Amino acid sequence: MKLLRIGISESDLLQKANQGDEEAFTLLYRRFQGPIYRYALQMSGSAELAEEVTQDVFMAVIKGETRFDPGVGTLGGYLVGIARNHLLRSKERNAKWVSIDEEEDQANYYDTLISSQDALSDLTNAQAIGLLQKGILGLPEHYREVVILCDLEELSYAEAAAALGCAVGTIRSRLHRAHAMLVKRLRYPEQETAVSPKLKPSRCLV
Amino acid sequence: MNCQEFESIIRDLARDSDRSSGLWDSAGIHLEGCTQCSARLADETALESGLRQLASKARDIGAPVELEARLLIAFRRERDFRQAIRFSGWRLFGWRWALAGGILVLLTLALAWHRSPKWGLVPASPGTQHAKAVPVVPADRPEGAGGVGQMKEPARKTLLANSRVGVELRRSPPRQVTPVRKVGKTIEKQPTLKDLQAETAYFEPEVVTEFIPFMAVGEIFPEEQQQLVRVKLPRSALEAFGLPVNRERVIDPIQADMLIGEDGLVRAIRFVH
Repeated sequence: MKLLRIGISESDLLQKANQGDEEAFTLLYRRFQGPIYRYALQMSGSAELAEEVTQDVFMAVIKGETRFDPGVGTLGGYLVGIARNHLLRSKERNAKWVSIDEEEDQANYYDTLISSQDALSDLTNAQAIGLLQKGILGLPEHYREVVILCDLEELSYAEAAAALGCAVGTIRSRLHRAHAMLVKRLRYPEQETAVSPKLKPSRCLV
Repeated sequence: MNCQEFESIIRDLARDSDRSSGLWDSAGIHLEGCTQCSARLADETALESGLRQLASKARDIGAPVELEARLLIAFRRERDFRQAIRFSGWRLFGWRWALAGGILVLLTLALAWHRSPKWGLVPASPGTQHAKAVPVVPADRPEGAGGVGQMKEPARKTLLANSRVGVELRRSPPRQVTPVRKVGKTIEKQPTLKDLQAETAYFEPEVVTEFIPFMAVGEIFPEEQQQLVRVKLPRSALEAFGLPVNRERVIDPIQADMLIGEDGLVRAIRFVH
């Protein structure tokens, strides 16, 4: 298989894949499966759901259901947008509400727990990184997705705005607020988790 | 720069490690006098560092390999399905065209068949077609005026059979008419006078009288080869044969067919309108 289509544009790649070019589809999949899978995984915390969402996104490509406009944004952002829609639909279909207390029992890919009092001062520590992952997963959904897209997947504000269907200013403000929340959670983790154990705060993993 | 303005650029400052850039100039002055913002920047920088590590760590995470294999199978199925649909679409398209073409050809043939002269009854010049004489008796023909109707049966038959009559058939008969005889074909069974009248009623576009024999000339020989000649006569000639004459058109000529025997004498005459 010739994978030397370096210069080919994303829209051409998508068009060729839609026309039945297997090589183009393979290239497209290998280029975008990672960001889509990671986005779905970090948004849902479920590897199974992330795989399902990734499959749904590429099935949409296979069936030619995509309406990508290169003038609006990048293909990566567009596909992430499809993944987001699938996640939202999945959330509506079978809402998986998981108590924060139960998260420790889930060994998705958050297998590192924190013991340090101040993780922020030592974020090179693997445990601190684990706490950061937990902190991201604990963010409200609309803050979480901008952190995932802009910080972890390193999309530009414009690309993230296109993927999420909102204004660039909204992305900026959400990201700023999300960072403030993460700093607070990492600096004072005991405050975040021991607020009210009886209330059993819960959040949506999907 | 105040703390609010500093907060708006704190992420850019945390990501920008190059402290010689212009962004740091104004922010540096603010940081010297604001410990709160300095601590905030330190936290943000640590967070950015952690996020970058997390991003690099997560970069290796991808969908399971089996997913690619499953998707490729689905891709091939979908491609084959589309090709099959396209092929069947073309086949259906081709069949439609073939059917439409067939219908068109049939319609054309039907139209041509309907418009063309049928059964070989093409317009012919008088005297070239062999057909039976048409003994049409006019309704106003006075009884006892003489003619074929009064001739003896064998002689009448002979006259009818041997006459060369120029019959112009200018239109085709309706399809329902079945008694058809092709030109020049020998008819084994001699039709009766009634048959002839019924048959020729369709084909005879001209109104003719019956043949009126010239009895003064002599006998009509059955074996004699006779010839039919069309002539124009003054309308008053009708009177000589006991036929009514329109006085207003008495000067107009009238056509007549003269049956001439082998000796050149007229055997019979009929008038044509």
